[in-house]
Amino acid sequence: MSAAALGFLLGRSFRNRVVSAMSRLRSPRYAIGAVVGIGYFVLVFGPSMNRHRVRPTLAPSNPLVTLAPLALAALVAWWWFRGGFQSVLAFTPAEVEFLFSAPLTRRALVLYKLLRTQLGLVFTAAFILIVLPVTLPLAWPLALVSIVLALTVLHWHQLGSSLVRADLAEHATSAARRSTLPTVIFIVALAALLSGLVPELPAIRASADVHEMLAHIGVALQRPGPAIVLYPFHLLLAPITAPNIAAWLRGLPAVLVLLALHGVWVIRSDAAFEEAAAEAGRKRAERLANRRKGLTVQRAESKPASRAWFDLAPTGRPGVAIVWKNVLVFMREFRPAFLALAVLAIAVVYVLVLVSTHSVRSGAIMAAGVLAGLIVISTIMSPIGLRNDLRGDLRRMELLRTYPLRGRELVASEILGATASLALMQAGLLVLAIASAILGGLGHEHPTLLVLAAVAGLPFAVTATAAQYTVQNAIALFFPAWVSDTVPAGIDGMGQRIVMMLGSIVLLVLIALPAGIVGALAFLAADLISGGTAGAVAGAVVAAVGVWGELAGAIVWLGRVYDRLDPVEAGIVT
Amino acid sequence: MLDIQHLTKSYGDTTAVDDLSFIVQPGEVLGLVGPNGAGKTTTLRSIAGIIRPTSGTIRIAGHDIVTEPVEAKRAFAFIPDEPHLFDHLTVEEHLRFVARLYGVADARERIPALLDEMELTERRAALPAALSRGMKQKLGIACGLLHDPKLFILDEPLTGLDPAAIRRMKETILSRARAGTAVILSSHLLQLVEELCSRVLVIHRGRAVAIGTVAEIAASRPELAGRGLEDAFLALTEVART
Repeated sequence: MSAAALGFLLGRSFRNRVVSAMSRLRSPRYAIGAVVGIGYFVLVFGPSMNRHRVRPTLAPSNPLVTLAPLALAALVAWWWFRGGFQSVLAFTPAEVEFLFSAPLTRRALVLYKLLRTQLGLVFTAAFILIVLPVTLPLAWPLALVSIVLALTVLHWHQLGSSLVRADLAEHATSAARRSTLPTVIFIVALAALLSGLVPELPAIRASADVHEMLAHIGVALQRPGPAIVLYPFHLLLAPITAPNIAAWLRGLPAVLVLLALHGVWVIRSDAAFEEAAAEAGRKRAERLANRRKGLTVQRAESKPASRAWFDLAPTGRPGVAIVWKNVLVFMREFRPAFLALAVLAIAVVYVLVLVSTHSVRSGAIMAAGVLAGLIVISTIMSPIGLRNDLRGDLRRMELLRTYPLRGRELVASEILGATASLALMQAGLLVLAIASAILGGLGHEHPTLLVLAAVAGLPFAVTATAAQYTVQNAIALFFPAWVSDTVPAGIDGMGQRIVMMLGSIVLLVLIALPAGIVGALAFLAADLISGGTAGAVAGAVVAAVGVWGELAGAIVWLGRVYDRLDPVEAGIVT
Repeated sequence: MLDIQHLTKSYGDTTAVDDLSFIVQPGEVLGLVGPNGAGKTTTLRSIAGIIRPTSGTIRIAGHDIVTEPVEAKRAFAFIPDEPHLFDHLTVEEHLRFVARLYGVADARERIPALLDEMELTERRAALPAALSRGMKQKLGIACGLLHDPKLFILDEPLTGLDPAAIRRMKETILSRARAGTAVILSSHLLQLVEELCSRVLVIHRGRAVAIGTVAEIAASRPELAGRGLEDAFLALTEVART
């Protein structure tokens, strides 16, 4: 009876999902997204789908064959040490609510979980088949079945390891004790792998190119130690790489045995499945919600909030409250990630340059270059990903609309708040870049360049950032459903993201063009009168003023759009 | 305080609110009741300026919500059934944020008192993720009370609150009304509406089917004489349905 109910749930959910996706295409925004998404897919993967035109047939000596078992072994080791448990065990909140309280055995739940993921594995296998840079020797249906079987065994192993880890987490007294058995197995396996690799090291080092090196590694992995460790993975991959049907039939029983063993292991596993699965589901739901909000860093609930960067006076322009809020969001959510990224990038580059050139000066110049690059990247890319602006607040539109603010003031404050957040970071990066450049001696060699960077660098970055944020917020106001929580994850969602990216590029060009022309004229005029440096400064200032003028006009217009936007019709609130 | 005339809100062929007119005086608590999909939330959202009416006028403290939105919005507070909080503002920062939006000059003195009243003092530095559903609701109510609104718009205000907080919320609503605040309260809890509201507006399929005190509404139909709001509500919406 329970099997019938769970089967009904699986079947109907799949059918309704397909029907919903199809009916969604009646809406132009999803239809356009689907067309663009399919077009992109065909454009990118189309050539590789033609198996006879582009891709060579997989040879037994191909590094994909020789190294794949090692890669899978590393993946499995990772699961045992770090656990994939949050994603593998996760049930949806509805499943937890309905199924966990229903009179179902734990085995039925595990079986349901295994079956539910099967369809996804078939799609994944088909995708792998399409994007593989080589053609598998077998006909595609056999290749597809082989990949699905391998993925299923791996998935079940991941689930099994997650259940064991969940069980140990509940019963073992310490993290160290939980890791004892995997650690012992890992050390033995590592020793066995090294026993094969070490004798081959001279040959690997002496390799003329990457292909030769990979070939030597392949030879090393065939020695007795590595061969024993990697034997199960060789068995798993044998049908996929089989050169003919006879070899495929010879390899298939071993995979089926592995599958059966894993099935028995997972279903008979005596772990605290429900608790682990419910907790994993909760964390996944939170992670997805954060991702939809544009939050990239996971927040610990118990973590105390850092202090606000400036005290908000209770009276004054109300829009400042929005700016203050957006800067706070940045400081609490994104800043640590940015700082870590910047420090890591600089440290890596500095060490690499220092090791290769033994020159502190070169290291400093390279660090300045990396910092300048980070400013450029933060200007172009960050406004797309960091949504501490109207995009992040759209889901709270029911609240925003009750605030005593005109649309233009709200839109301006949202954009200024987000821009100010990034400007703070860009200013810090610029100071570090100039300091590094001075340390590297650029102050003597190219004083004009350094002065220009110091004077015009930040205004230029801030202006470009504000333009990017204005464009992103304009897209959010005109296509709110495309940036809200309801953006689909399928091919139409991918198409929508491509359209948005292209749209934002076009809008940025439209903003930059008039201001750029006026700036260029100013540059030419000033260059004729006073020379290069003055011309460049004059051109940059005029262009920046032009862009800000355009942005001011755009914000007034967007304010009207915001005032007229009906959040119910736009699907922002239900 | 709130004057609604011929309010209509349509979505395509669907009319969510149809020619609704009523007035809420200062100090009055008006209960807005109706079955699911009757148009209560659309009415409240129109009053709060969240959505624009298709036709009709809404005046709050003398200001039209469409033509003078900022002035009108300064006069009211809207508490939706689901609290909308900012993930990265602490409890106290929410209040400081709202204080600035509404220009509450004495916010520094009022905020501790409000936190105390809502039993949120110990959680003043907590982010919303660390708050229970009830605490979030209390914070939403505190934000609404901070600027001393002349009109209080409440959509299912007791959702998620514990019994003590429910009692305190009822006292808050009544005390604000006694101080002259106009209150419009939407709820499915008919006992609550009967207990708190001086008048009740029953709407069904977007239209007003009755307005007045519970006694007046009951008196409109002989078979309801002496009966409570629940019987009147069921009878009225049943009539409207048939």
